[in-house]
Amino acid sequence: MKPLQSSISTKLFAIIVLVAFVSLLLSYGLSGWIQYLSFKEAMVEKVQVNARLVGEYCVVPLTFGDEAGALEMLKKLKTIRRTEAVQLYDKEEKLFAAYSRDKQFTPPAFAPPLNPGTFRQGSLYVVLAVNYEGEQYGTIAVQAGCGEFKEKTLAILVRLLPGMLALLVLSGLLAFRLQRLVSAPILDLADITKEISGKTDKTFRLAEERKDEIGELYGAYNAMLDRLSQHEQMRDRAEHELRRSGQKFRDLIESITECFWEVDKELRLIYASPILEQITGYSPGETMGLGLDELTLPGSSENSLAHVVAAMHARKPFKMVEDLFIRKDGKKVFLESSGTPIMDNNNLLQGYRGITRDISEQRSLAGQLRQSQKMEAIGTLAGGIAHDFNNILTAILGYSEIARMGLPPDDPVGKNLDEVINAGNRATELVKQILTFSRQGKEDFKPLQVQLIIKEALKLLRSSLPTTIQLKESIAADTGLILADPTQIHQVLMNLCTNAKHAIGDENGILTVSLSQIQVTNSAAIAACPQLEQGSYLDLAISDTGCGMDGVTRAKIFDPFFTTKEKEKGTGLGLAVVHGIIEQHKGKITVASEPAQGTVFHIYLPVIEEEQQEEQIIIEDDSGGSERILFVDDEKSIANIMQIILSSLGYKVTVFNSSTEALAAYTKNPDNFDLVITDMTMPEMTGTALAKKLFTLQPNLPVILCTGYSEAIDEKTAKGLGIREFLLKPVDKHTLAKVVRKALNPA
Amino acid sequence: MKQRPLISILIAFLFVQTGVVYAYAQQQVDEEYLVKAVFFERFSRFIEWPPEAELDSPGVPFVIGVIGDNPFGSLLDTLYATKSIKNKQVEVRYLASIDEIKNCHLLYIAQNDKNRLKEILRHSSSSSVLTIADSMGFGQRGVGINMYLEDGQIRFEINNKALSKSGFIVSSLLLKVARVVHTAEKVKR
Repeated sequence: MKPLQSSISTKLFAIIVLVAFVSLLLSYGLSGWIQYLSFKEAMVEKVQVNARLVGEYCVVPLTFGDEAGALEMLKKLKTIRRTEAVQLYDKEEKLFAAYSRDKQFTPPAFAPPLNPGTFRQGSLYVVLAVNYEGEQYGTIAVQAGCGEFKEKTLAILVRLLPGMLALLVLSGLLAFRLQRLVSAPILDLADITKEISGKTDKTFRLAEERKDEIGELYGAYNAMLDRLSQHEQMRDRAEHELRRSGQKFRDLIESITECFWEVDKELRLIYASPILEQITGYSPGETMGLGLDELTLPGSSENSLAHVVAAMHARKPFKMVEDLFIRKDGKKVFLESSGTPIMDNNNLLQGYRGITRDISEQRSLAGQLRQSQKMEAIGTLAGGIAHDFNNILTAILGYSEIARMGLPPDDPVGKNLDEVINAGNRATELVKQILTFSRQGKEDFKPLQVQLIIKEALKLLRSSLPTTIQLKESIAADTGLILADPTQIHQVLMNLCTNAKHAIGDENGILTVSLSQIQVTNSAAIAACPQLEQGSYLDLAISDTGCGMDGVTRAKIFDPFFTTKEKEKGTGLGLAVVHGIIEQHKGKITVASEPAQGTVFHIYLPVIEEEQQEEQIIIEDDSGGSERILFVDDEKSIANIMQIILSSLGYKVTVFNSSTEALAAYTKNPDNFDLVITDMTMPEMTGTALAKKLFTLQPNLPVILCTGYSEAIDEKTAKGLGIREFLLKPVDKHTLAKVVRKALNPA
Repeated sequence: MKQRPLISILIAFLFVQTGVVYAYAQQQVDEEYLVKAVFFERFSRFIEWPPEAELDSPGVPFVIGVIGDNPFGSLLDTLYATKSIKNKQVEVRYLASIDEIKNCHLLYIAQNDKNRLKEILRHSSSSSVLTIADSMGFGQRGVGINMYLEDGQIRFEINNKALSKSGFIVSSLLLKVARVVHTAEKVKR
């Protein structure tokens, strides 16, 4: 039972009743005690009085020695109840007479000392002097039992008891009612307090009626409620703000592609945004709590880690630290991290915050850019060289043709010259190939006899292959044409053959290139390439006896940025570009390879209809004309050749080696000329600039632009300017004749 | 001569015995009258004399008169030589005539004065004299205090009426212990 846990009303009631009970009990006891005492006193008095009286009566017996008389007197004390013994002593304190209820009792022989009344062992002893007229005649001693008044007291107490009990009950009732005055408001308060947290009405307040401490309590309680409600409002606002802010943060974090992280002052990861998983393959959960020294950063270099750690120890920010990282799935990526220290108010390090992003694409794009810049540079170089080569070839071919023209067909010298011309043509083609190769990304789909491209490519390749690698070819001669960009096909071939070369490496090996035409039907589908629809395809196969590839590598070779070569030896773009090119050509590329057994690439390209074939290049008679031609080229030899050829075709040719001179000449006499043929790259004024100027004088003037390399201008642009025809150097007589005729013929 | 001492002793013894007995008897008698003599003083403690007795006047002794044959011997003199009654010196007078009664405060009437009792009483009652006797019947005849022997004890009877007629006030305490007697009516012959 734990009395202190009970309700206050019970406590108050108990207190009041207890107090009442105690007081009643005390007063009851006290009155009993007082009664007892007064009884005692009364008894003493009575005994004294009687003793004195009897003593007086004993004076005469004492005087006259009348013991019997004295005894008679003593016996008068019998009337006092409970008189136990009486003794009378004479003047000499000797026992004179004695009487006692108890016959066995022996009275003391000599008078005890005078005693107005003492209680001993349940009896009252009174010893008084017997005096008469100022003289003591003797002593009287009375012994009386005390039982009488004890009984009397008890009787009184019993009489009082019902009253006491009644009072107790009454006090209980009063207590029960009156304690409410104090306990009720407190209990109310307790009830209210319990409810108040559930109360939706926040404006609830207690009624402040009383002026006492309870009233004060109520007042204070109300004040507290006011404060609470204030705080709640503030807290609600703050919460709302926090939520919004948190949402803003989350939105921000999730919308950026960088991973936002935070570490504590022990450099342990305490937060990483979900993007971490996208970047590294590891979820924030897997990495949480790990310190920098525990986070194994696979692929990272000592340097960059040391740099970060040093910065962190120095409490300095670090920016854009790059490093290689191997993701959870094994893929290699490049990551760039920046971090800034978090300081508290005392300038102590609390942690670091920063971002990490995947810069692999950036790097590869940078690599690609470098590569394409390299290619551009090569292209520019090649273009430049080609231009010069073209000029030289023009001279070689031109003069050779001229020389050939003057000889009969079966002249042995003439036959030698034919060889020269063939070689020159081949050189021309080669230069064209170089030019088309250096010209990247520009498509030019046309019906193509792919064998020609293959052959040219192989020619180039042969010169770069080491002697340990044998080049075999099996090119079918008569196949259908494909719709293709010769440059790109060339690129594809070069790429695959270069890969094959690298696969073989320093070992002895065989590189085989074969071309055949196949038919795909439902029943005879290509097992390795089921997506090929029905139709005729050219199967271009490049195989090598190199190191081969395992299944994992094979699956990834066409992925951009995937390379088995070391950094700087390949960007991994080659096969991806090849794949893209083949796809654009509406073809398919497949690979078969086993480690140490070599690799075979099959390229399937759809054959186009015969009707789409261009006219066969037949030897025609060169048609000539008699119009007046203005020829501009800063190269004297070329200009000379052209003049001869054109003259042989019947045209009247005026040659200028300076574009400004030519312009001046034309301006002077615009009607003098029917056609202008101009080179592109010339000092003072380019061909197109000249053309533009000419068009201002004569808008419909037929102009042919003749150029060695197409860096600055292509056919479309030229035609857009108003130029009728576009010629690539070196021009052979046949082409020149055709184009000139075409330009001069009315549109 | 051996027998002589024995006889002497016997005789001597006899004498002594007699002497003792006599002495004893005498002593007895002495004792009784000693007590009675003492009682005079004791009675006086419990009795108030009338104002005419002039007991308050200093220099006036308390007079004890003995009339008749003095049984006291010299006891009274011896006793009251040093003892005082009512804080007064005591004079003991052995009265020769009745006339001297009036000068006494206390009168002892001896036994052989039966015949003169009436007269004595006549004198005493009018003179504030306390009459004391120790003869049988004296109380009823009007003596104030009459002593008698009972069971070896000296008791007394008081004729309170006679005393109060004479103006004496007797303490009730005394009365309680004493036998109260009244003057007997004379038997009319």
